[in-house]
Amino acid sequence: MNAAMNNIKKHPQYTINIISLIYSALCLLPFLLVLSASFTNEHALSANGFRLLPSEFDLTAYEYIFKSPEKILRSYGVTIFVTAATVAGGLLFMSMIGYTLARTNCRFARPLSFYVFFTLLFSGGMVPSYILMTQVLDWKNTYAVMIVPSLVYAFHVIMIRTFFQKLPPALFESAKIDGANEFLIFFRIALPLSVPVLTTVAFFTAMSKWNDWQTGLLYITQEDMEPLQYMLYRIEQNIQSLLTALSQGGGITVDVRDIPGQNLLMAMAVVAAGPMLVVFPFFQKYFISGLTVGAVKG
Amino acid sequence: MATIASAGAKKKKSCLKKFCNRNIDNVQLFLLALPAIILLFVFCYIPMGGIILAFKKFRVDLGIFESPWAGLKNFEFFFTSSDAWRVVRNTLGMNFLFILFTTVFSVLFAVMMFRLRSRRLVKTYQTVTLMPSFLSWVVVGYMVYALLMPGPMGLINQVIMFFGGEPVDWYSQPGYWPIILLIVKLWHGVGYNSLFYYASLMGIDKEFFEAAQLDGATKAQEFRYIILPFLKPIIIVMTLLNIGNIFRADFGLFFNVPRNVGVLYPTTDVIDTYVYRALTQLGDVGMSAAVGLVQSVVGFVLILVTNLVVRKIDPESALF
Amino acid sequence: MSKHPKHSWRISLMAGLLAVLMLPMGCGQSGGSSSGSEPSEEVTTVRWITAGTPQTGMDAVLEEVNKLLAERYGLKLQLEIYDYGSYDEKMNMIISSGEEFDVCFTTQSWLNKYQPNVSRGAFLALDDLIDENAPGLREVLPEFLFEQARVDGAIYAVPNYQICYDSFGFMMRKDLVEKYNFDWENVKTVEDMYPFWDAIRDNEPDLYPVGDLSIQAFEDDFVAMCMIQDYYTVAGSGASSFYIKKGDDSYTVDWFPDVVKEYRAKFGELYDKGYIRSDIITMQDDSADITAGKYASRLGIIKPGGEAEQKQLAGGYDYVQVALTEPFVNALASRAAMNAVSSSSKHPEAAIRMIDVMNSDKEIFNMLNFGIEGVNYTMENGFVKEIPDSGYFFNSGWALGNQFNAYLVEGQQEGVWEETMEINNNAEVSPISGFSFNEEAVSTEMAQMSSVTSEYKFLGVYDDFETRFEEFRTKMEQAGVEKYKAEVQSQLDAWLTANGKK
Repeated sequence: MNAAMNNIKKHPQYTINIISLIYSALCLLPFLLVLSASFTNEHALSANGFRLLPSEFDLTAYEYIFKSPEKILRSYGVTIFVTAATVAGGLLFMSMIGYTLARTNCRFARPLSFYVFFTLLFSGGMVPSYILMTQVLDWKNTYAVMIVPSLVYAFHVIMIRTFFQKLPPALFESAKIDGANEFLIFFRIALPLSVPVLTTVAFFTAMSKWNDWQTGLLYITQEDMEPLQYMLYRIEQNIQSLLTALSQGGGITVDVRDIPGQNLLMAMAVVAAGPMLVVFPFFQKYFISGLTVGAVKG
Repeated sequence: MATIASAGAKKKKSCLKKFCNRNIDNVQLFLLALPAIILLFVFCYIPMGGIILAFKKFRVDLGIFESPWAGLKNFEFFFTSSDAWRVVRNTLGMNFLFILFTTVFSVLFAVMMFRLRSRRLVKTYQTVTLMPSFLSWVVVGYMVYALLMPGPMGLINQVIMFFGGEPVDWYSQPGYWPIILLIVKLWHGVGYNSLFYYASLMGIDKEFFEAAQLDGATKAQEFRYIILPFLKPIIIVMTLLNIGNIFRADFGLFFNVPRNVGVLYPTTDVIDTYVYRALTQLGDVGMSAAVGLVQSVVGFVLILVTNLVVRKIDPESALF
Repeated sequence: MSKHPKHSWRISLMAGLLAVLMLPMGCGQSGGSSSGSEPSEEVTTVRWITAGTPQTGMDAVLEEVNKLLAERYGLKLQLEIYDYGSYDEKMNMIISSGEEFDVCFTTQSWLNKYQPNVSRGAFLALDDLIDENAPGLREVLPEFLFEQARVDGAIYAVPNYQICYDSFGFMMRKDLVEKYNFDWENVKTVEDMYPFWDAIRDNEPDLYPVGDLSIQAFEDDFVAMCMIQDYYTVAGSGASSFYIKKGDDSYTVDWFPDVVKEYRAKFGELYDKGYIRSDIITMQDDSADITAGKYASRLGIIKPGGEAEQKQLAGGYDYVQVALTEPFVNALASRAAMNAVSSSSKHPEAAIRMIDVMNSDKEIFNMLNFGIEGVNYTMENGFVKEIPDSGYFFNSGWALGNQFNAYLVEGQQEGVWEETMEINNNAEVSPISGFSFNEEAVSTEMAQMSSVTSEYKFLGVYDDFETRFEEFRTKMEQAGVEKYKAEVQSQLDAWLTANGKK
């Protein structure tokens, strides 16, 4: 026991690596199960269950998804555009208000924080939003409906605010004395210093937008504007709904063969998650090499 | 100061008097916040009018506002239910476990990554541990089933049998499920949540560590006296936000992972799954609005109280 | 001083960014429904929303359909098909928000549920509309369909004519029946099936002796099969159903927990004997096993042509079928698939005429169902054969209108519609046919009961069945089953009096 403790103290790097390796393996294994299932024949999957290697290799699921490649590419395009636009716009607006909330000389910071925060707790439900989007704004089948409402998310605003609050106040004071106004301080001092947190928020925003199927479900009926995750969601829901139909019995004559196989579900999950995993290291570059206040000051 | 910008600001300040009080900084700060204020107003505050649906007997042909009032009828089904206590207990209990363990593990993992010297390894670990959060709960549900399947088909049972144990029938023992759900939740979210703590740690002034090393501080002391105080405000804010949602359960997790097996309800049934089950046949907008309102109000009260306490102890970290 | 011009530059940059971000977004609007170019003097467009698999080649088919529609009826169809999985949520939003549309698909207990929509004012009452604009509907459809669609005396949707009766029985794989010399033709009771199931259990380790169309429905279907012989269903569904006993002139409503308990115990017996797959509790989707033909037999509705349908469905094996219960038409059987006119419709007369067309004009109905001949399908010896990947083959006539007007598809049996119609007309009809319980007054109880019943599924499977069932009974009582029952009774009594039956 003591020896082990000593070991940990002497080789903290090894310990960290061992723990991280085990944790990573736990994350990776189930993902491999999904991957393998997506390459398994539907019947073999139900007979043998999930295996690390496909029990019966089969490409039907992917063939089905890429049957009309232009459709899936189009969906990728929609999702990428929507995600990029939301991240760009959202980051600007959220860091602007986050800065205001963090400034000690701001007299309305408290009520404004409350104003922002309140939106996290209370919502009027989907019906009023739907009326607003479709009847007041007339935004059905537009890119606007996929971008604008999700630009500002209170949770992220508060994250950014918390980060700004931790910047040394002296930085702002000295800039003030030099005659800089708030806009200048924000763009010249606060923004460059918060690259790590902005990258994190950018990534979180990208991820939630990437995974958003609900907007597509409610507001997009035009096929060439369907986001990717909505397609995955539809496969998931079709399974559920057809099963419900079957369990009602009687006059509803849906065909069991219409129920998408689990392998298709898994393949769609792989197709949907893949690109974000490729993109992630790009974000990582910015927060992994974090900036320090000292470095900027110097 | 007689420039265009400040002149414009001067004009505006009269109408914003109550906020900025003749203070040019506050006008500028307000302008910075304005786009977000407008967006929140349009997309969050305006639809909040729908909350009154909780008190209405909604009729489509009359619309939200013309529909007749229903008093507290919409709240009845939840509060008179014999399961109300059970689902409230499960929701609060599981959310408490989730908040506690997610925070602890995310912070620990973030600190470990912060301590790791090899940047390449940090990148790899972070990417891999992020993978689970890309899987939807439906897919996770299937996967957990593959692991826990009863009898010799389940992968976990195969491991147990390999070591000479008896296969466990996971889906008929409610006792296991708080732990199983906690593990699944942590597995799904720790990698993702630790990113934020990690990014915050990047903001620590390296000079602190240099000074500490000169004084001969141990790693544990560094953690205790530099890292933890630095992360404290973020941890507090994140916890506060989570407390606000403590009456809301992660529907996807609780619905898909226990596979809706009735025997497990004593530990897996939460407010959101209960409401889904009860209202799926009825599809009543008013009733679901009523439950949503209760969840919001409870979260709101809890957060006001916690915020008050935080404000007393450490005003800097308070949410508002 | 020198810095100041820069500030204003920043401001204008920000304002510019704002403008760039906000302005073009409203313009992405698609011109989908801009009908300005239509020479529409008499042609009325009907927006019809239905559930099914969206078809990529729909525009071409609609163009053809609309030519015929305009020529014959002065109508234009704007059809929208949403997936089964998203239909419910989409319709809920469209209806709740008061969005304008004309016709939508609705069912009693599956998608876009009929009764809740009627009680929230989503659908128009159709009696006068039909009489004034589409009297022909009354002739093409039998009267009992309309009777069963009535809620508080008014018709709010037109049922799609299709199979209406229940006749429970078993389908068995022919090869296995022959292999084990099973005398299937003389099966009269569930017990008669035991020798066959024993043989499968003992000799075919890869197969399951018996299943259902969906494993999750198995217990409910089994209980329904047992109950249908002595009881009529009055209200509710699944484990919270309410019945009256056959031959009971006092029409006493009850949920007969003791009788149901007996049948659920029997289901547990089948499980204990190893006839039912052991993972029934956690198995949610067994469709892959069904399509692979892994069930030696199956509980289901026995109907003409059922063997051929089952063959297509379940692994291409030949099947035989035997009925255990007589054909019987439930009180609300016709509500399984219906089309309703929205209360937000601007021209309900056109909407009802469109429904009329789908039920009476065979050519238009079939074109919408199968697409264009030669493009989407070919006719071979009087049977429709799909042209694969042609972009259109809806093939769900039961969602559009009169199923019996549909052409026969390859693999279907000659004369199947006539035979089905014949049984529809001769089957025993529930004496309370047309009585529809309005659950508004007991919606609180209803919500609580549906939660309880799904918690206590598959009770017979557990060793402590007795205790669990009593727990279930107690919880149902707490949820207000007695109050619900009393409400059903009082509504039924009122209905019986009004219809001169009591």
